[in-house]
Formats: sequence, C-alpha cells, structure tokens
Amino acid sequence: MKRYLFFGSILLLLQSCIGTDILDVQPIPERVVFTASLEAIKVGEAFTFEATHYDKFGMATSNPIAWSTSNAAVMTIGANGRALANSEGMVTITARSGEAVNSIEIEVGDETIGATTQRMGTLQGLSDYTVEGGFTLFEDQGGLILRLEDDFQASNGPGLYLYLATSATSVTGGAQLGPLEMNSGSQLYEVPEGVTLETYDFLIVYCQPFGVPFGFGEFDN
Amino acid sequence: MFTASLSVYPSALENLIIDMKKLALILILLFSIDASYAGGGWSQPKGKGFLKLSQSAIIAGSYFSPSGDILDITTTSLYSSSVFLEYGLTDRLTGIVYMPFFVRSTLNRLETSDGDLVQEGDELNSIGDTDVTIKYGLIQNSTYVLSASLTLGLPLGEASGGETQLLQSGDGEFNQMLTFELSRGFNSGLYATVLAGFNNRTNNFSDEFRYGGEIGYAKGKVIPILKVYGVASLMNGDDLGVPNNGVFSNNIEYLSFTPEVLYNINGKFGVTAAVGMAAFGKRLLAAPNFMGGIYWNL
Repeated sequence: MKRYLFFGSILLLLQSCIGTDILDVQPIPERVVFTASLEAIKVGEAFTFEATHYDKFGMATSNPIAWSTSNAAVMTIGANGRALANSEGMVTITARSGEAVNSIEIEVGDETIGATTQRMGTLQGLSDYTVEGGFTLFEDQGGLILRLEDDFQASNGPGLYLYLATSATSVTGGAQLGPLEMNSGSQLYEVPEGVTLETYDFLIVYCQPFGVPFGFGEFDN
Repeated sequence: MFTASLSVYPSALENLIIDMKKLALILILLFSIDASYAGGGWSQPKGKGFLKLSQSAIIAGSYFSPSGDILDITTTSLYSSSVFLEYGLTDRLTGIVYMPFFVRSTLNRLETSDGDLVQEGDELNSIGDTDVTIKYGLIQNSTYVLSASLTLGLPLGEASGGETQLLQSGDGEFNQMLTFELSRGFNSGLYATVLAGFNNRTNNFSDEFRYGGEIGYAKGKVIPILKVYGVASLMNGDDLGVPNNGVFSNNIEYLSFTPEVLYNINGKFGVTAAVGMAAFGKRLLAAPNFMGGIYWNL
C-alpha cells in the first residue's frame, strides 16, 4: 500500500500550477496619421489639416506636428495645419513629428472633395490557416464600423479576435474590435473611439489566448 | 490542448524475447497519450496481463502551425496521469484499455514586464479520451508475428474546458482505428516492429494514416528502445466544421522519435522513462513530451 501511496504522491507533485509569461512587446515604427484631410480643394478655399503622432508602442501622443508643402505657389500651410489653396495644380502636404512622417497628395482645382469615407481590403490566411473574404471600414453616425463581407470565412480556432493594426502580423498598438462572432458570413463590429479611417492599415484575425495571427488583410485604399 | 501535444508513439510493445525457442515474453509498457498499441505483433497469452501507471508532461512555448512553421505561443502545459491495462482473453485475443484518468491542461497568465496583467491564465482538470482496443494475433509462434487491432477512441475528455473554454483533454470525436503490427525477435535480444494503421474519425475530423516502427535490445535489466511514429492526415475533413478548438486536433501531422529506457527490477515489476520529440509537425505543440512510469506483469 505504501508503494501505491508513494506513486500517487509523485503523480500529484508532477502536476503544475499556472505559470506566468512576460509579454514581449516588439516596438513598432513611430508614425504620423492624418485625422483630417481631403482629396481635392477649390482654388481660394482654406482647410485645416490635422494629424496625430503615434509612439513606438502604438500609443497616440500630443507631440507637435510640423507641416510643410511641396509647392507654396499651389498651396501654403501654416504651423497649425491651416492651408490655403492658391492656384491649380498638385501639391503634397507633409506632416512630421520627430522621425515619423506622412504625406498626402492634394489636387487644387475647381472643386472640393472630402477624404474617402470608407476603406476596403481582402483577408488572407497565415501559416496555412483559412482566413479569406472582403472587409470594409466605413463611417457611420460619427463613428466607424468594420464590416466583414458575405464571403468571409476563417478557421474555427480558439479565442479569435479582430484587430485593426499597423502591420500584418503584430497587434502591438492595434485596436481590438472584439471576439470574432462567427466564422463565416457578413458581420459588423464597432470601432473604438479615437480610431479614424486612416489610423490603421491592416485588419488581423488573431488567436488571442495563444498570441497567434491566423490571417490579415491590408486596406486597398 | 490535448491533441496539440506531441503525441508520442503510442506504443506499448512490451514483449521482450528472452528465449526464442519458448518465445517466452515479458511485457514492457511504453507510454501512450491518445492510443494504445501493445506488444507489437505479439498477443498476450491467455490469463496473462500487464498493468502500468504513468505520468507525462509537456510544457510548450511554441507550436507547429498548419504550415509546419514553429510559432511562439503563450506557454501551455499538459500533464497526464494514465493507467494502461492489457489482458489475454485467449492466446490470440487481447483486450487493452488505456485511460488517462487525470489530465491537467494549463495556459499561462500573461503580464507586461512591469507586472501588469494582460491576460489571465486558465486551467482544466479532467479525465482524458480513453482507448479501448481488441487485438487479434493473426500469425503467432513464428519468426514473424502479425496482429490486427481495432481501437475505439472514446471521447470522455473535454474538447472545450477551463474558464475560457479553450483548453482540452480530448478532441470530442469518436474514432475507430484499425492497426496491423508486424514484429520479429532475434536471438541476440534485438527485436523490431513495424506498424500501419487507419484512423477513421467523426465530427468533420479528417481521417488519418498512421505508421511507425520500433527497435529494442532486450537483454539484461536495462532495455533501450527507439520508437518512430508518424501521423498523416487524409485532409478529408472540414476544417471550418470542427469544434471550436478543432484547429488543435484536426489535420495534425507529425513524425516523432522517442528514445526510451526501461529498467526491469524483477520479473514482476519495472520502471520506464522516455522523451518524445517531433522531427516535424503540423498543428501540435513544439516541445518534448517527458514520460515516466511503473509497470507490473499480472
């Protein structure tokens, strides 16, 4: 009997408590994102561009933005982002904060066209996981909605979440949209406040508990 | 994460040849996680049996993805305490039961380097999937021995457990596996077994072809063994239709190598230790499976 009790005790000792992993956060490039812009502007009109700086952990900062124009004859821009369309032509407006820089090309002509109100992309799987179908990010009643289209489908994995992110494989600094509701078909997700159409360039289907990206899609526009 | 584990060669070839003229056999049991093969091509003599208690542990911080790449994951662990019983119903018919009576699966908690909680850990304690096998000795008392086995994989484990419903002690499907094992013993004490099997799986899981081999040197109290075991998926299931955690248990493929050492204390009692490693894999934990156990000849 002692032998059996001894072996039983050994079995119990060989079980383990829950351990702890330290999250290895990989820094991402600092960046500047336009939060107010347009595609075209009528000669003589003014517009105030806005942009936000994001640090290496993907967090928005209040760092100042330095504005510049590629052609002051076409468009001038002040330190506060206030721009004036002077004459017809194409111009590039640049926003810079430290090493991070972003540019947008504007047509100055006979009409004003606002920035796009939706962005679209197509998902693809990583590491042979099945993730496919289209998605659209669009403005709705002052907020943003992400829609997975009818042709969406994904492998049936544990703890899958959707993230808007800055790269195809990392959710560092990304915005979590919530758990994946269904593994196929159209579905809608509210985007957290503070996220704009231009804040992120990727959508990731992410296995949250184990930290594995199943698939991603990059916005086409 | 039961089936995401490195499912080491589920062998239990335990018959060691000590006298080729009499073909007297001594059973040795090797650990099995998800199936039970026993004795290679040899069947148990009527009224003889074999019992083993064993323990295995896998602690994995990486994972073989479906494409075979090794990915870092949150550390997950699987501990399994099991009992294996083999009994000769007749000289050719052997009944075998393999039951992981206690399976513990854990998922580590995740913290930042500053100690802030990112994600709670999780745990599952449960019985595991159990195999019931009937083996028939097709060719016995010959230079080459051949057996056929039918294994029923009973889904007694949990396919979705723990607070997060993410941990597993089973795959949630009832499978039926037919296996043929061909063995030969040599006067030197060397023996060898090859096997091939077909695993019919349900619930949208893909069927599997299983293959393997084993060589051992059974002379003296210390017996070294090397086992090779492989699983090839027929990819005829529905990856989108399997249960939530099916990604860890469907379309698994691997080739594993398991060196093992047995110490035969006396004719009735012995101990064994082994470690299983995968040469390649898909959809399973990328970590060694450490195993140990004690056995009795009945």
